[in-house]
Amino acid sequence: MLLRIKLFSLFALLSVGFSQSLMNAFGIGSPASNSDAASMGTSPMSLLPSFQEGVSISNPVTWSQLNYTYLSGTYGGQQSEIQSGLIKNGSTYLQQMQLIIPIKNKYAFGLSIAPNTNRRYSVIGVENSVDDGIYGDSLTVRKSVSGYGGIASLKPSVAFPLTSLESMAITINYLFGSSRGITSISIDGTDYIQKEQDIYSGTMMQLFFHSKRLKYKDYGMGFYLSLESALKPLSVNRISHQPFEDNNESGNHDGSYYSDFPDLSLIPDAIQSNSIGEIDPFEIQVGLDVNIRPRLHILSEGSHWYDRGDNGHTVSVLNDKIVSLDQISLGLALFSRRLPRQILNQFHCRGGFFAKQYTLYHMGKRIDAKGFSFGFGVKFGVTDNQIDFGFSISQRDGLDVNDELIQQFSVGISLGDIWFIKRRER
Amino acid sequence: MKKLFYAFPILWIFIPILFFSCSEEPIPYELSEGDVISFRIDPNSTSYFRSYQTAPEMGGLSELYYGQRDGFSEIYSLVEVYPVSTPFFLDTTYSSDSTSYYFVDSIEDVTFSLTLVDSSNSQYHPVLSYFSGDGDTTIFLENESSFYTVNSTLDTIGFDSPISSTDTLGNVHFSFGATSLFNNYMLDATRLNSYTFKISGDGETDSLVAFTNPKLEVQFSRTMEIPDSTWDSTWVDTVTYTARYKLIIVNPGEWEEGDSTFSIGRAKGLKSILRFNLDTLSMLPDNIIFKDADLYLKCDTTINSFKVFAYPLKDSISINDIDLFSVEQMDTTALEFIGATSSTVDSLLILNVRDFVNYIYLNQLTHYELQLSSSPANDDPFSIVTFINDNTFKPYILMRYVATN
Repeated sequence: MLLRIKLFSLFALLSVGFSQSLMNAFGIGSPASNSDAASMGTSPMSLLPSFQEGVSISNPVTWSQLNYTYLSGTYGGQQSEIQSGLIKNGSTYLQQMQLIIPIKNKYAFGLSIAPNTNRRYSVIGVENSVDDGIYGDSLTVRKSVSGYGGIASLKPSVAFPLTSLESMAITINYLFGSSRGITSISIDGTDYIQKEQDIYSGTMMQLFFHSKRLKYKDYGMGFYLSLESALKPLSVNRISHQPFEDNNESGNHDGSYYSDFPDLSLIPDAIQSNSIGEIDPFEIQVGLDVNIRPRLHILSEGSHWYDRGDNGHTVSVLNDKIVSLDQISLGLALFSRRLPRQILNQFHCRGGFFAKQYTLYHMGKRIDAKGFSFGFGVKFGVTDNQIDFGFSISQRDGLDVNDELIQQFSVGISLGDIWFIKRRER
Repeated sequence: MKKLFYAFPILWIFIPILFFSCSEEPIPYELSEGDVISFRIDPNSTSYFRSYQTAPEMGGLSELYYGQRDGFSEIYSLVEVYPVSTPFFLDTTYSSDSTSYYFVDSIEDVTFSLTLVDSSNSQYHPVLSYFSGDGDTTIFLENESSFYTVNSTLDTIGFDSPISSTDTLGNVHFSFGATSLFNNYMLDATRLNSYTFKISGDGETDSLVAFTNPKLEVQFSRTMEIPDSTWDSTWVDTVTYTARYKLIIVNPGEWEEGDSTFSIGRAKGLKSILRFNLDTLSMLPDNIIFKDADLYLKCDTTINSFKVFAYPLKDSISINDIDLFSVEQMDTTALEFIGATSSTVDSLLILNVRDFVNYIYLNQLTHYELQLSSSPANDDPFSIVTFINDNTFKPYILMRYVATN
């Protein structure tokens, strides 16, 4: 029962707390990244090993390298500044919960829950004076949109060997969740408000591949590949409520003494519309892990994500959506010793550079983000428990706001235990 | 395995962080415009504007009338008065606390009075009659009775001519002595709570006279006695009956409407039905809200202020079916609108019909007819306002809606 309560609490926490951004207002929101703290130190893609030598906590094909079962949680925060810090938005949130069970260093099973997209936004338009030729007057109009919520993903994964040098993993990604959107148009000081709710469902499948076959001179090399496609493209069930004139300035459609218009008792049922295949993504990720010296790795990866959905941007408040995302990164990781004797040898150190490019569907506009990241992790305990810290600073250009500075941090804790190991009988 | 979950609470230390370091400021951005759209609906071949005559509804007005006015052949008022305090004063055995008793020794003086609104009408003396059949409380119904339904053949008792007086503020009052009438007729019905009077003009009243504050005052001698005591006390007390129901009876006569006009007037029983073709509303996008919807009417004369009630009809009606007493308005306050003049320069009367338009848009009203009538709040219930519907001006509706998407 206690476990259920705790898990329920985690579900609830996953649905709140994201930092708002203009990017989150496009389409179904902005894709979440950096789902674990160790990966944040080197790359936003999480494909290459950064948790421990040969292991990425977000890449199931590497989990068979683990010696212990892990329960891992990541907590993070984000702050974005635009207009040279005049406008700041920030919040902290639970990024991921994950259970990883390696089996006899050959197989692995895992289950994780993490945010998939973030739809937290608060955007205010420019105040305009609109001349009305029919009425012969002039109105002061200002539109604003805000929303919260997003899509979460529940991901069971299995990993298994293909050959002695190759292994593979399959992840099924169940997408679910909901978000609320509020559009408010202020006309001469009176707000006209409409509220909407979007309910999401979809299923993706992701294949992971790892090969240790590549070698260059004496350098050990790991090749990583990941492909993701939709088994059931994301559909959005939109519930649109009747707009209302907020006469009592409560922000809600209510009022008994000084009622909003139209009267609450006479409003019709909300309009429901189902948009099937709103998002139909395909993603390819490629990574190379080069072991240049003992415990020292160069990590390089790239990815291309694009949306094949043809429903455009029906649920977007900005009448546009992110249609593709390309990422590259280059990182360096120095892992701890297997059996450290000094405290410094218990540390994993990570750092890297990355670049992202988003493309908007309707405007065709490209949004670039460049940044660097760094982090470290500390092992403790006999079961290789680990605490990881990751930091990331990036600058995003291309939106119709001035340069956006984004700072992120993540703290992860991974607790190990021995499962599926035959113990000596006493 | 338990160890894993015992370690779990470590994560809870992060939870308080959720409530710190959070800030949220709206981001300025160029959002889409064109969200406020206006359009105009003019009459077409299915539209009509037609007045009709029904029984005048003259109850509940603040002022009462008697006398004459052009276009109306008979005008008088009915008033039912009711005691301000409970009518225990006539109960000779009334005891307040079982330790003392009150006795009414005699009726000293009874007066019915009223106050003229305009003191310059003091030469027009009213005539007062008492409906001796007071046991029938259905002599009139304030909201339903009219010239066509009040029974003028009921037994009445007339009063002597009134005495006029002017107070220090210059107000003119008329008082009718009613002591003998009260002792001879009304006292028999001492347990009755109310009495009904008719106030009309005398034969020489050739003008419309407005009055207020009709009341009946009864002065009586009262004695208080304490049992087993020789002490008693006697004094004169007064009980006042004020108007509980007020109704103006007027013979509206017949109204001849012009071909290119339509009219409303309370005392004349004039109302109008307006029909615009509002099919356009069903073609508007979903999830819009009307910011404004106004019906523009033009009067044939300059008016200073005039308030109009506008109701949707209970059922759809054809122009050929509009006849006396045949039209029912919807019985719902949620669909009640009040319009008022906003401009006297062009004699435009602008009615807010946003509720009406919105309910048609939301398919909660399926017909487009709107009934106009004069509001009781208008100063002169006898006035008639005529609206133009010709080549110089035709009624129209302006609408403005907000599309949030």
